[in-house]
Amino acid sequence: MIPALYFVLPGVALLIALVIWRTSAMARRFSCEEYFSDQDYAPLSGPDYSCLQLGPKIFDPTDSAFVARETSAHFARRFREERTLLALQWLNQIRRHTNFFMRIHAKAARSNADLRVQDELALGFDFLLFQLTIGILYCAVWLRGPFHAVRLVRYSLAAGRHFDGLTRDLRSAAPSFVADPVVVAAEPPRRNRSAASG
Amino acid sequence: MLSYAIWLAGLVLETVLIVRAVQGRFLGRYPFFYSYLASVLLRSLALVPVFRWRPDIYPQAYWYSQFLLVLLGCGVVWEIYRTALSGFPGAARMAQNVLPFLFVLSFSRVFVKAWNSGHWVPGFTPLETERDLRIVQAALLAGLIALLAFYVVPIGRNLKGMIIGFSFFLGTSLIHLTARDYFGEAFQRAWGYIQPLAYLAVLGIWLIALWFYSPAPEPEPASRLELDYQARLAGTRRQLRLARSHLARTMKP
Repeated sequence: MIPALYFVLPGVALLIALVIWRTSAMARRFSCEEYFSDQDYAPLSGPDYSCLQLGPKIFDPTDSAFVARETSAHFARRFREERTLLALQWLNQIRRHTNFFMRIHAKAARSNADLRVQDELALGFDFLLFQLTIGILYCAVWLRGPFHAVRLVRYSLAAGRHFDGLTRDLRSAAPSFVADPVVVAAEPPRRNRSAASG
Repeated sequence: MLSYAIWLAGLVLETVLIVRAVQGRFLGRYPFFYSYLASVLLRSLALVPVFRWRPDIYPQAYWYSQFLLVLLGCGVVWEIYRTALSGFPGAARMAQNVLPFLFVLSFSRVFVKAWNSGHWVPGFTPLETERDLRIVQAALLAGLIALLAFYVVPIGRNLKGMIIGFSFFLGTSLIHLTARDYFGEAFQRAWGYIQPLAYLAVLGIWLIALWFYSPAPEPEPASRLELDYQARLAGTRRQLRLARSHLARTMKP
């Protein structure tokens, strides 16, 4: 059954790609044509910048802790639900922000014969990675709320730093491991030489 | 009786498509596509006397002609690429790099299977071979769709219909060829209806899209922004970094 699924997969993937392409085409065209009607650098305002600054405040658990301490459990729960919605909205906003600029870039790049494939692939990869991060974060916020999600991210970052430190320690210790056999191998002749001289 | 009616409807739709292209004088605009369509039509008609008077050689005749159609199908993908990206040198350059990579990636599997088989045939059965070649076409078309979507390339009604129809055809072909291979004879009866019905739906899509000639819209004259690619690239990178920094600042302990 598994090999059969493997062969069905490309067909299903193609059909899904087709549906995504058609459904996203309308929205993309609308925003891009609107932007390019001015044909200049000036209107690079893009989506709403100001709300992007609100991230640290939305994900900050201080006021949620205050509400939990000072009000009823029901009110605190409603507060957390509202904050979850706000956090999801903020993540959507930051995603829209990058999508907007990527669309403008794509439109500029498609007609340009000077396009460098490596640059495009690197940018595409960065964009994909960013989208993946946002997607994972969105799922985490949706499942556990913004405060737990932040804690999870911080824990992951701390774990990452810890493993990075461990790897660095191992790497710094590695030369002595490598050098030891050399020293051991090199020692007997030296001893012989000293014995001979002695 | 039903299968006969479906078969006949397919022939009628193919003929109407070709006649419309001749009437509208756009047959030469999509030579591979109409060659493919004409070949399918001629093959269907040519196989009738074989089926009636030489049923013993019908399977061979069917599968050998099918491989010819699969090769012509690759030509249709190439035609879609050539027509859609002709006015967009940047997107075309990306396609020239990405599509050969996808071709090598998907075709290497077919090549390795053929190498191992000893008879230079990739599959144990003709059905398996057709499926493997369809996977190559599907990979190329999926890559092309991804590029068209990423670069927001405007395409005309004709090309849009060709892509939708051909993708639907390839997607459903891969699914039912696999089902036929996996379930064997038990699926044969259902396959006899599913395959022609799916093809009939594809012909319907093509008929609507190619009823009259509708070329891709002319690319707009390049704006200052489009001409200055390096500046745009740097700007996009800066915006991506900015968004990432917002995210990092939010998550920072």
